[in-house]
Parts: sequence; C-alpha cells; structure tokens
Amino acid sequence: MITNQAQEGFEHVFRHGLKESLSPLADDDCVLTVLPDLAEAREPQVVILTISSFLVRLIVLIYFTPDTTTREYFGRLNNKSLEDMDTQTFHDIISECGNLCCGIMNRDLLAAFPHMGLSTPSILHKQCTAYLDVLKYGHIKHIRVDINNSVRFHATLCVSEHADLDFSVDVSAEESTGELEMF
Amino acid sequence: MVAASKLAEELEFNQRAEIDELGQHLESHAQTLDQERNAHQDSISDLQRECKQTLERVKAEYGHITAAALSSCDTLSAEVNSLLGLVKTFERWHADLNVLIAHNGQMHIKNDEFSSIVRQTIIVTLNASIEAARAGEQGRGFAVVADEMRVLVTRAEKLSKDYRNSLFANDLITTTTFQDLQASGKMIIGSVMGLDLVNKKTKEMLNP
Repeated sequence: MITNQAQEGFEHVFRHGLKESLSPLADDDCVLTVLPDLAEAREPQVVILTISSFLVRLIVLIYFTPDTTTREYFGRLNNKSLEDMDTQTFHDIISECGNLCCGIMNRDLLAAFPHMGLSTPSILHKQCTAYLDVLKYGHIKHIRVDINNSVRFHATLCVSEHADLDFSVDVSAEESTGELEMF
Repeated sequence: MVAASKLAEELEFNQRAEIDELGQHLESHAQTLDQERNAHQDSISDLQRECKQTLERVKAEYGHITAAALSSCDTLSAEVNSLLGLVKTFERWHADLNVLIAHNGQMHIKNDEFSSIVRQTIIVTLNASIEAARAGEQGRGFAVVADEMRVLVTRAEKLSKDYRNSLFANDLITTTTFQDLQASGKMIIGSVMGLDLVNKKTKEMLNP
C-alpha cells in the first residue's frame, strides 16, 4: 500500500522532474495538468525509463510527437537547427530529457530511498503502453505538459511497490539548482 | 640566688630530657616513614612493571588486531573490486535487451507483412465471391469455397491483430524487466562503491 502522503510525494517529484527536464528555460510558459487517464494523448512514441530501489520500482513514460514543432523546440533548447534534428539526434535529446527527469526525481527521493538506480532510456511505440496493467503498479499518475501553448507532451508515472510505502518529500528541495551527475 | 640557679639547672635538665625524648620519637617516626616510603616505592615499582607489561601485551594484541583488520580490509577491497566486475554483467544484459528489442522489431515487421497479405486475401475472396455469383449456377461450388476462404482469412486477420497486440505487450514487458535489472544493477554497484569507501576510510584509520 502506498499512503496518500507518499503518493503526493511521488507526484511532487514527478512534476519537478518533468518541469526541469522538458522546460528548463525560465522564460518558457510550462503548464502541468494532472489527468485521470491518457485518453486524449495522441503522441505516437514514448520514452521509457526505470528507477529501481529495494522496495519500489518507478517507471517513467514521456509521450512525444516527433513533429516539426517539437523538433524545433528541442533544437532551440540545444542550439541546433531543424536540419540538424534528424531522427537519431531527436531521439538522443528526448532520451536525455528522460534521463534528466529521472535524475531529478532520484535526487528528490534520496532522503526516502538512499539506494536507487536508474536505467538507460528506451523508445517504444505508444501502443505498448496499453498494457501497463502487466506492471502490477500500486500507484499511477498521468500528467499533461503544455509549453508555450505550442508543444505538448503527456507523461505517466507507474509505481510498483514491494512493501508498504510512507514518506514525505521536502518541498523546498525544488528550489535547489544543484548540478546533476548523469550517467 | 643558689636556689634559683639550681632551679634553672633542673629546668634545663628536664627540657633536655624532653628534647631527647622528642628527638627519639622523631627519629623513630622518620624510620617508620622511611619504611613506609620504601614499601610504597616497591609497590609503585611493582605497579609500574605490571603496567608496562600490560601495555606491552596490549600493544602486541593491538598490533595483531590491526594486522588482522588490515588484512580483512584488503580481502574486502579485493572482493569489492571483484564485485565491481558486475558492471560487465549489466552491460551484457543491456546488450541482450537490445538484441531482444531488435528481434521484437523484426517480428513486428513480419507480422505487418502478414497482415498486409491477409488484407489482400480478403479482397481476393470478395472478388472470388463476386465472380462466383456472376457465374450463376455453375459458380455455386466456387462460391462455397470463396466463403470458406473468407471465413479463414477473417480468422487469420483477427489472429494477426492479436499477435500484433501481443508483440506490443511483449515490448513493454521486455523493456521494463530489463530496465529493472539494469537500474537494480546500478543500485547494487552504488551500494558496493559505498562499501568500498567505508572500507578505505577504515583502512586509513587503522594505518594512518
């Protein structure tokens, strides 16, 4: 069982990770909206990552559309022109976003889970996510990410626990801007 | 005058006697003190010798314990280094995952091709039914065959869709399972490195 406090903690760190990784520039307008399900999501691809600890496994999914608008957005963030944003480059960048998101979540959860490991990202077809039930998760959260009213992502956090979970997250940690060591 | 002189002599005599007696007491006391001092010095010497022996014994034991602890640290360090070789295992798992995902991708392609053939076959069976109907009575037998073909191909279409869904589920299960292995592997490596750090600090304390 995952207590309400722990669920709120997971949501907090998930939002923090999404905001910092997908919309790192302060000038960009980033709106995160919690959704009951992902019926509205139209993105065809998803980058998936796992954060594992002894008693819990977090699966982070970021749904994206490899269209011109999205590629331009990431090109702007990475000082690359649209021409430079070929499929492989785009996938590398969106994968790195997933890495960053999970790195931030890992850091925020360190007090509650001192031993955690991160996987490398994988890109799958969105249709794969119709079978999330097989993960036997105890908690799931769907979030829509709108940036500047032009770029849209959806994201899902699945938490599979192997023991009762209860912890609180230090909300002030979001203010921290320390460097993250990525793998 | 004579009486006074005699009294003074008597007084002097008495005082001398008293002084002599006090002197004897003092000498006796001094001897006692000397004896006590000697006894205490002997006792202190015994204690010092005992302390020295104990200290030497403790030093020797400490040396043995330190040597044993350092030896254990070295053994632990070797074990930790050996465990860090697990990284290679995790890399192998990751490579295996990529092979599996690529294999799943090939199965997706083959199934899509199969699905395309099935769709074409459905059209062919429909055309066959139309041609059979045009042939009238003579085409009745052919119409039965065309209908059977359509039933079979419809089943094949359903099977292909189910198989496609199974492949997508397989992609998710495979990816999340291997990612869990990979992430847990990194967690273990992190713990082992933490252990290595503690071991090195212990070694530094034992052998500054």
